Amino acid sequence: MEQLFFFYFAAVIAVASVLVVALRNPIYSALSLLIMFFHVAGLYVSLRAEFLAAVQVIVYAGAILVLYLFVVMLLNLKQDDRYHRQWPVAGVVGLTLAVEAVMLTLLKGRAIPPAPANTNETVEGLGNTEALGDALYSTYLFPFEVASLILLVAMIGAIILAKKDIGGSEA
Amino acid sequence: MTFSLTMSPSDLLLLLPEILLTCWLCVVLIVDFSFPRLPKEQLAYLSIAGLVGTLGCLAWFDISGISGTLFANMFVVDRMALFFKMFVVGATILVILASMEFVHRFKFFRGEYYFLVVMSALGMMFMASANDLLSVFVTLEFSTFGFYVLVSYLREDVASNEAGLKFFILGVFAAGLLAYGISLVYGETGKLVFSDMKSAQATPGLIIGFLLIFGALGFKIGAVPFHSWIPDTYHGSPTPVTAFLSIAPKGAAFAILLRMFFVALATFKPTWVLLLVAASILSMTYGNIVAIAQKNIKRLLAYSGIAQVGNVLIGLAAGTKMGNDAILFYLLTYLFANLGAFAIVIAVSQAIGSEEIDDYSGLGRRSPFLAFSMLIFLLSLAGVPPLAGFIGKLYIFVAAIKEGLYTLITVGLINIVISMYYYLIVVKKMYITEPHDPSPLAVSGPMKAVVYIGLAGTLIIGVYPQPVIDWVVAATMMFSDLAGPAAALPTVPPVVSSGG
Amino acid sequence: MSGIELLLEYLTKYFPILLFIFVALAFGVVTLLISYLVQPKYPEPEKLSAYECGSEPFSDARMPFPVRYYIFAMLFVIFDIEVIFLYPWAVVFNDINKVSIIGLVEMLVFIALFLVAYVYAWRKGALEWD
Repeated sequence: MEQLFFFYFAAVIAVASVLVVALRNPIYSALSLLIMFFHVAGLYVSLRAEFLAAVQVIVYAGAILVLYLFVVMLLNLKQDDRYHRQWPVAGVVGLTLAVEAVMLTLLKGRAIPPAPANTNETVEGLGNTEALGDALYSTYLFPFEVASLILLVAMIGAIILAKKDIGGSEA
Repeated sequence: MTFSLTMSPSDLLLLLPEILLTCWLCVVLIVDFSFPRLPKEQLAYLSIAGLVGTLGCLAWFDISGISGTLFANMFVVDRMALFFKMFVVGATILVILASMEFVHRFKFFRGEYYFLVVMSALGMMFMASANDLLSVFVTLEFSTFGFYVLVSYLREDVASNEAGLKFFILGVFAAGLLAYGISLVYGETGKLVFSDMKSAQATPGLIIGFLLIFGALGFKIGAVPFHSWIPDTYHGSPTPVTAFLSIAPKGAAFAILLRMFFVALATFKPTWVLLLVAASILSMTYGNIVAIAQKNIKRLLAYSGIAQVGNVLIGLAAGTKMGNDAILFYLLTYLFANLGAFAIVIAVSQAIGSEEIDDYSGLGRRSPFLAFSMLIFLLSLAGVPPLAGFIGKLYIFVAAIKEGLYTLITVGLINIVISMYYYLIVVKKMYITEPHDPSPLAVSGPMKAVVYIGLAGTLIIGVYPQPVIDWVVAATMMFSDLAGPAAALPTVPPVVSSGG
Repeated sequence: MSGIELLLEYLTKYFPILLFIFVALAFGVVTLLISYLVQPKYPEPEKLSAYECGSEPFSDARMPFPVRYYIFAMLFVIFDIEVIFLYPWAVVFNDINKVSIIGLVEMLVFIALFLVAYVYAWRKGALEWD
């Protein structure tokens, strides 16, 4: 049953990702990206990462996709302007990843001790969000605070790069 | 229930330099938007004041031997971290001094320029202390974020925009590789902290994961298979940003590489030495050969930077304590020579508006000071005695000879000869070719200060390297259990500072 | 856990979401369907031609947006991510509070840094339309 969920989500993700690059109208590409984001969220749910699923919907489907659509509309991409000569690169990268996937699946279990660490017992008892909060605000406090600095830089950088000018009050 | 966090004020003391700098940065930003009519030079001096304060704090830590770890080993303060923090902060001070004149080319957001430079420096200070893969990712992205904006700061300039776009796309790609690599390593071992990975077995996932992480860090330092962003980004960026980009991130990334290779992957040393030897040979040869054909001084320095990273990788490939000492020493000599050379590029570009090597004709007559300093810096980069670069190269080669890496040494020596050729082309232009326009050049005060500091560093370390050698030997004490001779240069008795 | 059990668990846990998805889909489909079914159909060439204030359409409907939309979208993403960090903190706040005040302090630091960015954006006029 769990595998059924996985295969459904994985299949839709794969098809939608292909459509993102294959569709000729950029708006359709963005919409199929939206479908992909939702199914990735579904995959997270089937992995019992509920918080991550919610974040996926709120941030990716809600905010980042809007940004993509803005870019598409901002640039007013015509269907003909797109790049369709990237097959060699795609082939090399795809082949590498395929070989890697095969290696990982075939050689798995030869040398490794059975799945360590990340199946934390506390995760079972607590809700996913609680477990995440406990970890994030204690052990991983340092990356968390650095993340706020990143957001600070991102905000200022976004304004510097995108703002046309600033009210003329600069010395 | 499961929440536990133990932190005391003495723990926070370890974060003091970073906390100070963060608060100071907020002050700088608030001053910037609260007093829009304040001349932006004041902000530069304000930033420098904060950085000098941080440098003082770091020096105090180093002298009084304050060290420790925080956040379950994720953040470590040891003498190596302190060395790289001081390295980054020092480079940042010099870069800010060198950009004070250049900033007038930006039409808008001149104050934020200083903010972003110091913010990137803060990110690199965190990088120097990152001791686990998650912190590596977050801090690396933090420092790179500032650079994405800085590289495309000349918004009206197409080259700067192109540089920014190229850097951003390839940088994000590298970040993706890093995240993927980290997830593979975590999936295989269940560990994030470097020192917990010592007992990891070489599974395919782990190998691929670490290769990906090495790729992302190789992108940061610009070693050869990952160098493709360097020439265009260096060329298109505002020159002070190029100077910053060419030195500070390399230092911080080497801090991470040292921790990764010698703490997490110490057991796989025979394997990764081969990888580093290959990367080193490719970087040196490619950088030096392509540099010969360059007509633009920034591109020349970009390719020479690739070659210099190849030299530093020799030290990493040696895989001994002495090799690590040599890396730190070499980076320090590179800091002075490279930033000095870039300062002169900025000064000349301010005066004559050109960065073509052809326009350096007759610089020896137009500005003897600039030409002489450039000569010193280029010779130091090439490794001519008695300058600092010579000692740096010697130190690295001796470390490699002790490990019997003779092929690497041979390639390195051939490359020194090649590099001498293109450095001397610039020297010939400056001193022998007739100037197109013999009018003398004006140099601003802060710029002179940078050049003097660069000259002082290059000459003093070249003539009297002992204190610096003592410093780097002490800074890498954490690697003292490595195999191989844990000594300084053969002619110099190893003196270990008792402070740590 | 057996397959059926798992399915039941998902169904009970995610039933509201499932309901939402169905209602949302049904709303769109049914609205279109009803208007299709009840509309009178007398097609004529004139009626089928595009109507745009009486004149022929003369350009593509997809026009470039002004850049200022974009900056709002970017700022929105950043605010969005900021908010994401508040959820797990709010969930575990009771736990943290029992241990020490530090839980409050760490979020205050986080928000203070962000507040600086917010005031900056405000003062520089990034939140204004022009």
